[in-house]
Amino acid sequence: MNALVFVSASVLLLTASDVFAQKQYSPELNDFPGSDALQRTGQGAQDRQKSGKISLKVQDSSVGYIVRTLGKLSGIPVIFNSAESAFAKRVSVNVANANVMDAFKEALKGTGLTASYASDGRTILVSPSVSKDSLSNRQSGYVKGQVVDSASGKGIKGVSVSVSGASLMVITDDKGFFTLSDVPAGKQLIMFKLLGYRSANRSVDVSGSGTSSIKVTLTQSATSLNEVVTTATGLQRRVEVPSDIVKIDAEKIRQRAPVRSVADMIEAAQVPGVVVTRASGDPGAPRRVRIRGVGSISQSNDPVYIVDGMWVDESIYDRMDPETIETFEIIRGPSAATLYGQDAANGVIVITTKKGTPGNTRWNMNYSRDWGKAYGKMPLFYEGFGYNPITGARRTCKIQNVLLLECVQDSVAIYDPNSSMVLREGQEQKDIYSLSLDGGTNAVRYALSLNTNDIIGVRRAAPIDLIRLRKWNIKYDRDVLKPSRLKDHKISSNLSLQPREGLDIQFLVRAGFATLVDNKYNFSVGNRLSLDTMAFLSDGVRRDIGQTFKVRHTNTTSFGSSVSWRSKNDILVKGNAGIDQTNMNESGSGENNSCLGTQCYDDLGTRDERTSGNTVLSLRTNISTVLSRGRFSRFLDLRPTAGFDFRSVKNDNFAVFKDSVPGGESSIESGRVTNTLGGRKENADAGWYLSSMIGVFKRIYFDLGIRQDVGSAITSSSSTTYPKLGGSWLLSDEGFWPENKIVNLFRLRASLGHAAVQPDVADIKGKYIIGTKFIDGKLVRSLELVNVGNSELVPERSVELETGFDMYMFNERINLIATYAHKENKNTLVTVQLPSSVGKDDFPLQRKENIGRVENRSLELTINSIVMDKDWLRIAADYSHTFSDNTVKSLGRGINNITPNIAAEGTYRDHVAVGYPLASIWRNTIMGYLDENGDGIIAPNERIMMDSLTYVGPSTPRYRGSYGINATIIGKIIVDSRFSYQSSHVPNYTGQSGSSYGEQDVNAPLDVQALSYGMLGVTPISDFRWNSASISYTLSPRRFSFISTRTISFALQAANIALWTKFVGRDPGINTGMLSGNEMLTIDYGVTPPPPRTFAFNVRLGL
Amino acid sequence: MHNLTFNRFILGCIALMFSGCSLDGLVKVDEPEEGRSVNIKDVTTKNGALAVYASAVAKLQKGVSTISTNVGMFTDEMAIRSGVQVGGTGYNNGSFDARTEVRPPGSGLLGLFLPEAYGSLNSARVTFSQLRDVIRNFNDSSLNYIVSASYSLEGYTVLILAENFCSGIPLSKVTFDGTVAYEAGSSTTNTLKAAVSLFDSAQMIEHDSSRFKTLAQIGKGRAYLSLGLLDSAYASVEDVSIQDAFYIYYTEALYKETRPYAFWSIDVDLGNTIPDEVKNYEGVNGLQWIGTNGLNDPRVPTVIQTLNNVDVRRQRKYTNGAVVFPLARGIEKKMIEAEYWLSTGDSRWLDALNEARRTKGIQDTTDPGSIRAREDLLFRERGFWFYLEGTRLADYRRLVRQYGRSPYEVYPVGIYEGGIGFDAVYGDAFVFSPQESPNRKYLGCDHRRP
Repeated sequence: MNALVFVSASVLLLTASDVFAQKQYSPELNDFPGSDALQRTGQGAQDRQKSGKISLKVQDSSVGYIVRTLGKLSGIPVIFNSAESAFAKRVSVNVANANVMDAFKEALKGTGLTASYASDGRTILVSPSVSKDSLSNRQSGYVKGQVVDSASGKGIKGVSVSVSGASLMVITDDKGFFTLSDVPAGKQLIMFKLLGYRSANRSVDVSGSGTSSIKVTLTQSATSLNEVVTTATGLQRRVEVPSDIVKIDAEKIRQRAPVRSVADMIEAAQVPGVVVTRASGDPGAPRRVRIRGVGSISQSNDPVYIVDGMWVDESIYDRMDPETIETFEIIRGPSAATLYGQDAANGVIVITTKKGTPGNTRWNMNYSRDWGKAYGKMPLFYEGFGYNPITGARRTCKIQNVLLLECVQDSVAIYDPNSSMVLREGQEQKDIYSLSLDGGTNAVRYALSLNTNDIIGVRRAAPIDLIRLRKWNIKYDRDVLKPSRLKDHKISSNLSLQPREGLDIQFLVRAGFATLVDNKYNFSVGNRLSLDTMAFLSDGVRRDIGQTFKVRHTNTTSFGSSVSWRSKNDILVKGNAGIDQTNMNESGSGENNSCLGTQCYDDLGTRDERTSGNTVLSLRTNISTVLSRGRFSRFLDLRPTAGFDFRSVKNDNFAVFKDSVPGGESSIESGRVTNTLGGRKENADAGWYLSSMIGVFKRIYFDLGIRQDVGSAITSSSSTTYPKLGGSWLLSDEGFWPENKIVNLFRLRASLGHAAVQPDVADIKGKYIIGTKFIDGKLVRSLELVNVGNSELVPERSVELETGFDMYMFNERINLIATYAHKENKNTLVTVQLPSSVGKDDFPLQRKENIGRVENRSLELTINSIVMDKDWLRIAADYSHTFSDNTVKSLGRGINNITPNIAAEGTYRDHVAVGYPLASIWRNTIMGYLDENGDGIIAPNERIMMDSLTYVGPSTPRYRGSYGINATIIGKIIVDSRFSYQSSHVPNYTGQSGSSYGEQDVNAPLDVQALSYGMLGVTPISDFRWNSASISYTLSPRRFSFISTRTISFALQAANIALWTKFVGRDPGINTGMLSGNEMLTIDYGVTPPPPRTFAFNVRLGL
Repeated sequence: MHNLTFNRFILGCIALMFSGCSLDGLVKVDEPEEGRSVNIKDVTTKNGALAVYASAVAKLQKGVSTISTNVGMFTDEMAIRSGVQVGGTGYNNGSFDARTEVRPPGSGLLGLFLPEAYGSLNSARVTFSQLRDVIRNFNDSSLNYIVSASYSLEGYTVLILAENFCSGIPLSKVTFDGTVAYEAGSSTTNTLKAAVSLFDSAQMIEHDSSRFKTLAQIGKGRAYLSLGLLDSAYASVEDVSIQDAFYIYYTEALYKETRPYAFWSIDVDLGNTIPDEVKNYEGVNGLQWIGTNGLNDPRVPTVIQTLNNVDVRRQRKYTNGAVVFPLARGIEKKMIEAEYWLSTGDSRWLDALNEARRTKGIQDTTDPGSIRAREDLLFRERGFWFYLEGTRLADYRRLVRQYGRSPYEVYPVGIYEGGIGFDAVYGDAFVFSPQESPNRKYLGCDHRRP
């Protein structure tokens, strides 16, 4: 099989080499705008040359050759369009000692061409002649001319030249020439437009019997539609891409917010349709990025990450030095991501790192210090304590325990995180040091970056718990006062070689070394419920306790290389290969606390390594090749591309790596247990694609492509094919587009694309669990089937239709970008529980089936504006808004909902129901209560609950808005501020279940007691957040000439400055459920530290 | 020339496209997924088979634990104490249909047990069958005892299902490599016959363990008993010694894993306030478990504890997780003999009962005289011998079906101390939501085919 793959690759390479061997250059056909055709025909003519005499004798040669030769002989620039058929005519010429124009006339006899001096009098124009007969009776005329670039003076190809009010339009040729015919006589307004240039208008008097000649100069403009963005096939201008790809300049983000990770950067960018959530405000806490909602019920909804062409682990955003990033692009949804291959259905984040700049070595130093403090209203928590009436043992004591006669309350401690929690004392602190250097020559460029972080978290032990422990004479470890701490060091290097023109070779090495000391307090809010189990256990015997902490060393290394070669006629061959490896070693401490009793040992008496150590190895390799060729003419641009990529991932013990899958599950080989610690995951996929960009008249672009994939779970016999097609129409460049001063540019775009999320191999082959059982008086290993495989599975197919427009107004001072996307995830994998009649032990047997369908709709709106643009002050403001909607359309076979486990009454649950959002919150609602026995306590059976779950709302925001304003003062001071708004639903804890007043205090009012079972605290919320503010000042280098500084700047930055919300729970930006569930929020009990309010001071020094 | 070059380029691309099928080898992985996936071909050793066996036995352990708890509370073996919240679900119902079979689920504490028991027993049944799939992959005569045991133990799971759940049990299968074969609901009679067939299969395999032989013989006898074929039952247990036994072992350290609903684990988990009181004449028709002056029969050990200032008589048959659970005992042979001889008018029926009693040092009992009284005595003896072993409900059903007793004379009736009527709250059919029960062949309880 592999041999065949190499054959395929060989075919690719042979084909490419064949193409190169036969390439021929045609100077006249150099179609690039601003080509140097003038130089080739003898630039620098002098007036004296006009009167000079030349001789030429040529037999049976093309007119084009003769014209070019005459130009050389005369030394006068000659401009002509060799594409005109007349220049291909073969003629014989014999002129002797003739002046220049006579020589041209002689040579052009009978060719239908005519020569004349252009309006500058220094250039000869050769163009088709117009017969006098055809002109004599007409009320229309010709307008001829040339459009040139203001900077280079060279002709511009592809400029749209149209007559205002008439449907006349032509495109300039290679050298910027155009001829408009049948132009109505009289004064006409001629419009000149080309993306990337400011439009120009010229008023021309057209006579009914002649030709008007004009020369127009266009000035380049920095419109973002002309910006180059990254696609799977390579770099393309934005206007050619029918989807809305957001490209972010990383430096601008670093300027305006304290960015300490790639996730920070994505979060700070506030891109419409992109939601970043975090598990907590603790150092190193995981983040989750979701693009245009969620579509998969059981599979990953993570986007794919590509760094400099390398496919990397999705947690890259916390493992990569954000200082090394040049740009990142967010490719939202399959309409743009189809060709990125499997799992691209959730979007792609493409990161491009900095490369060296030719010149002397440039040193950049950056120091930043952050101070953070958690804030926010937190709910009150109660912790009831008491004693077992039989044994007298101390224990936590809820009302339920009292009812069951297990406990007699003797104290009810109010647990108020605002005053009792760690946050009162805790203060986050970060120190970030960064050093980078770059330089080189045009042939060899290098960049090296070092970065070190030291982040101390906000969480500390709760004083109230310390008081309790002292009161009960329980010894505790002094380390409880230490918060979690993350230290990481990153090194990145980039070596770029350009041994010859068009050939680029790049080598990347990136490494990171992180140490996270994750402190948990057995008796504090960090692990609050453990106070009972750790201090007293269930036997009520008192135990001395200490701090549990986990030390996680994470080493990451990435190697990447890429080669690209582009020929002069725009054949591109590109290859990427990369390895991304993560090695995580985790060790825990606290044998006297977290591993009390048998908890640290498995049933065979073997120490349970899950709590004492873990090694995780994640290895990703990827290879990709792209072969494309561009063909351009005045009217048609074509870039067919073929590509292939292969990716594989191997994760050892990935369960622990994910921090969510319970350990102890392992594989067997021939009945022998080989790995008792965790799991192993191995997967690979490969695919090829063909695509083409087709541009018509420089204003209509089509993007067509098809991709076919195979994978470890999907073989070629059931390979999957994904199409994409789209169109981008620069409507404002059309001749019929009315001239107006408001809308400068208007583009319509629409695209359709398919992409996939593949099933796991285990979904097809089934899953088995190794365990231990007590059989016949001894412990032995056991093996059982837990998930039934399904060989008929196919990948989930995500189909997205995206449409929108880009409108630039008022000389591009206001840009409006609107996009509507409709994404449907078909064949969604749903875990189906098999009936108990085929077995249900702790969990029912289950298997996955392609029976679901989930729909996402989103409307994204971005407005960028320049409010003021003076030399001394430039103010820019932007606004973006996202509306997103998600609906489960079908779960197959008449299934209306999925509730994985029958949960206790009154809890909200993971509940997927047809007609409701995939990520939604449901609850059991209490209808009423009655204290029948009059004991002053509401028991569960004294409440009346609804017998079904009630939908509360989505758990992910439906509306999100962000606002930003940026001012540049005298070019040196930059002030920036950002705000955001969102609406969502989150669990609320006050008076509800968990450690609440109503659940813990027997003296609580009856209604509060009753509600404590109902989880009614799931409430809609909206919040307005002041995300960031910054001021930076760049000093003039001459002030520091004594240390030879190139640049020096200072910045004060703040993040997460304020939050306005009526919500009384924890920070709604935290979602602890992201660790275990797919998208569901989980009850947090208010113990998760919110993201801290951060202030940072930053110095950047360039030498 | 350009066209030619470009065409070759396109052809090259197309060639690459059609070579896509060769990519399979590239993406093939040796270790399927997450380390938890194994193919049946990987389990090619005795150790692999034993691992599957262990898994199956553990499921059976859990199943019998849970069913014995359910049966204890559903019948007169256990009483629900006053003031104890039982989740709004009682165990008895005025509907005869509902009384003659356990019909889960319900909500609340007790309602959770029945689906657990049903699921665990089926899981055990399926896994024992899978075990034989695994063993077929290689020839190892030393595993014959495991094959025999798998038939016997699967027979027990089927037997217990038939004894306690309503007619219409689907005996679906899942092979070890994951092929699901759904079956239609099987009537109680056919389910019992299936159990007999499994016990027969167990006996046909040569093996070296008398424990497994006893298991198959007694199991078969018990199945015939439920079928009302007393002569066959008698014949089945003829070779069994009164000393033979097959126990299920537990370990206290594992109790939460293996017997979350066992009596002792409930004691621990629920803070000693569970509804496990032992009472005489529970539900009017119950037996007198406790003798005059509180004297205990050794077969029904109890103790009085004071909880919340109230004296409570609690069972002490299971006090911790180290106590074994008897799945089959030679004493059952004596009960089968007694019942068979009683049905044939043979006076040895009383000898059989007393022979059994003497193994525990219990004084001989006497012939009460009337046939009905003799039947009562027989079933009383069965009740005492198999106290909290999950057989009492099957005895109720036999008394109704085979001995013509009125359900009102057999099942508990009236009001629990807690004020919940036996008749009041229980009665849901065995219904699954669609995704829980994609088995279209199963149509629920079938009362027309007992």
